[in-house]
Amino acid sequence: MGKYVVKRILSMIPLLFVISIIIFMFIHLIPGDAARQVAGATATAGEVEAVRKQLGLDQPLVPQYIQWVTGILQGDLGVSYTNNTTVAELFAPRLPITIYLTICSITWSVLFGIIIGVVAAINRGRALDLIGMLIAIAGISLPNFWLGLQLMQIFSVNLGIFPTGGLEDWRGYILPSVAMGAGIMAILARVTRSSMIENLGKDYIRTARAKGLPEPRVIMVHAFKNSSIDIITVTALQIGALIAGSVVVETVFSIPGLGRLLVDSIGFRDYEVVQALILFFSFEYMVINLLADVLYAVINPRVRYE
Amino acid sequence: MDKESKNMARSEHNVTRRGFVGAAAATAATVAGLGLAGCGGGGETTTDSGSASTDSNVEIIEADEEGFVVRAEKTDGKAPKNECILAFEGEFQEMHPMDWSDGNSGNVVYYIYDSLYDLDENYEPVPRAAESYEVSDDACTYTFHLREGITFTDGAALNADAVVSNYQAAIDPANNWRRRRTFIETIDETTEIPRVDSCTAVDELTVQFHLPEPYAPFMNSMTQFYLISPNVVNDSSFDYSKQSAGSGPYMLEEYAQGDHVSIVRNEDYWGEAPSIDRIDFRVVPEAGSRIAALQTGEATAIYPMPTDQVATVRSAGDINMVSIPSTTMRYVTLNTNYEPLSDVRVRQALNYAFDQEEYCRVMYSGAATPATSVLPEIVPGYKAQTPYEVDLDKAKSLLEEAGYADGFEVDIIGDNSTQETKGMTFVMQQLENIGVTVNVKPNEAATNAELAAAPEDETTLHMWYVNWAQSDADGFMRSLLSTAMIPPTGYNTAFWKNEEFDSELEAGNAAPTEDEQNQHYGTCQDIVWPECPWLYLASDNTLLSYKAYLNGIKYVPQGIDVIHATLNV
Repeated sequence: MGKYVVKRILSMIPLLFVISIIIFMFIHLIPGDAARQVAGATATAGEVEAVRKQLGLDQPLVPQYIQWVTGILQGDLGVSYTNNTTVAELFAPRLPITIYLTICSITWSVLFGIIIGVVAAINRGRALDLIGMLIAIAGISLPNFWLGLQLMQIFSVNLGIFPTGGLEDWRGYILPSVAMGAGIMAILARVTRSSMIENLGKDYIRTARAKGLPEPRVIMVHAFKNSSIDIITVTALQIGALIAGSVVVETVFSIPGLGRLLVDSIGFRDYEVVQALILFFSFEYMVINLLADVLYAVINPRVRYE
Repeated sequence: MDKESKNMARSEHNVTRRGFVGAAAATAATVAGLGLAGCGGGGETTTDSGSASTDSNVEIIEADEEGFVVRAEKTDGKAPKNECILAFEGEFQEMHPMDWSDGNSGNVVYYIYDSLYDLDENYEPVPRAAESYEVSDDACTYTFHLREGITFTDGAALNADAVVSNYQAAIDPANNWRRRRTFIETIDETTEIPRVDSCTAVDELTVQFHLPEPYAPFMNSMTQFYLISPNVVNDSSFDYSKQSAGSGPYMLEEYAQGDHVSIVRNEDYWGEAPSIDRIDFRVVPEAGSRIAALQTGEATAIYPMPTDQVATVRSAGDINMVSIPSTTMRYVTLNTNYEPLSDVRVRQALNYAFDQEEYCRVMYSGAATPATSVLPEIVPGYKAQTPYEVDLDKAKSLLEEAGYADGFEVDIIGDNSTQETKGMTFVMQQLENIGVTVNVKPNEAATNAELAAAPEDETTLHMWYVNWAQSDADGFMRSLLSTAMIPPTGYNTAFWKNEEFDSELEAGNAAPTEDEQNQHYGTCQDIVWPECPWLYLASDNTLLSYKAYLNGIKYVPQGIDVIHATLNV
């Protein structure tokens, strides 16, 4: 197991290199000229060229790439073209916000998703199942953009309970987390339900019941433990999707997180910020997948890695 | 409404801008003067939550003679604190008074730093750190007389030497501040043309700028020459995002990029002390959220106000909404080198086929004014032209004369935001009426900027749906229509060349008095209007909404001005 984890971590290094090349190519090959964006709309050709030279964008791509990667290896993520702040300075206040928001969203959505899924599976075909799946379908179908604005209308404008944006205290996190997590909650409810129904129909459950085990124990220990593999897989994938979701929710609730920084930076062709962000998101995704794989083995000792 | 009364409504707008919110205004996203005009992308990130105006339920926005669209009925509300929260759509990118590029940052800088002169609501220069100025007869020497006793917040005196050291820092290529363009025009990597050759202190409170040749927008550009304390102007380690060193009515308290900028009253301010303790500029990118924040009082004023939410504002009862003419002109450039568009009759035909009134209604719920020249009405030097009244028969016969009786096919590019795509689709529908097939090709803003910068012999442009905002006639027409500004140098993306126009523009630039300048700029407009290098669209209004407990908010070329506003607390 320990050997497996070390191997996985080592294999991330070449993967990150490949990703860095793809990111670099992608951002430099899409149309749109960073120098022109920096120089401003009214800049003349001469001013644009001066900016290009100053930013080093007149160099061929290969030296530019080497310079970027060397910087990253030395812990230098680059500098934003918009106001000369370093990427690290831009990240510092935003990273905790996005991580905290992600954790809040994931926590409630996993908790509720599992509860709804388990309850629905046990009550298959009955009213509770129907209600649970109705919630799930609503959660999947409602765009989080729309949901966010509706929540704001009800809870901020009409009831005055939560702020419309900003993160001054804990109340500011509630509505964005709900809007962000709704989709995941819904997907998890569905996955949990179908996995539980499948497992509850298996022979070992019949055996457990025949042994006279109490029903809650049959459900939570025997059936749910086996379903948890599916749940972990889906959750890990959804955390990746949450990054995309955060872009929208951060915009609706005026939250200065990494998602909005990405959108703004792409629009501005702020190459170094975009590169660093995508690299970071890729890395985050790899780590989460690794964690999921390790969790499989923890939960189900039958899973073994070579 | 028939044509007659609409024209009346328009002239009422002219009255408006001298009234209330001061009214005349550049969009804050672009702000007045040099090098600050916005083109295409930037200002146009309308994140409207629903596709509004094609829906017949959307209220048409009509302003009364003071510019009010909605007047609050409940006016006895109280502000929670003596603090004003202004919610903006866009970011505040940079707090350096001489290195910012976005209009929102410029708006904040305006509160913290003094310039020698300001522009008022009517685009007239008004004294700020200077008391008065004189121009020599050859229009090459500007002498400013500074106010006595102004000090920066760090104690340094604002005197002639301070101005000179600011000038020297501004033109220093090592600093490479964006405001360097106020004084120096970069032609290419090796050629630079200075607009000012010297700045000297005549005595303690008199400072003189000498220009190598007359430059009409000089005073306009001086309004963006913000003065920094001489103690720090040459200190490259001074961090403008953490502290400020100005002499204006407010001081920087906190700047959190992407979120907010807070400023607090400068207790030692030399002028009339502001009444509001603290102003918070917040970034609220989503239109629906801005409205919600205004309803709950989390925002005192919002800019811009989304056009499709008037009903919400009206039903709230404690919100005022005003509509202010802007310096933004919307148009479609017609590449005059491209085969059918090269014929002036074809270009006129397109203008006769286009219904500007309908455009204003569909695109801006009526909060826009049809274009009646290449310049927006409020830009000083504007001269009204004869509108191209919708006349499909005339349009068709012009096409026939030009040999395109069966129409032709043409591409239009523009930004891929909801609003801009809708605008291009509207153009397509209008031109369909005379058999012209327009292929709508929305692109991301940065892509368009690159397509538009292609040189004349390589360009793929046919038509570009775009907009421009600038508050001086010279800069506006020079950037977009002069031969010298054909891409890649500038933004004459119609590739329109007219020697008479160019020489009139130069004559305007060299003229010593404003009247003479405007005479020449008027002639420029007379020349370009019948030539139709553009499909003329409209100038949209700036919409601003604010709580009734805020009094005296103004909209000036630098942006939203609440320096002398008060709150009912």
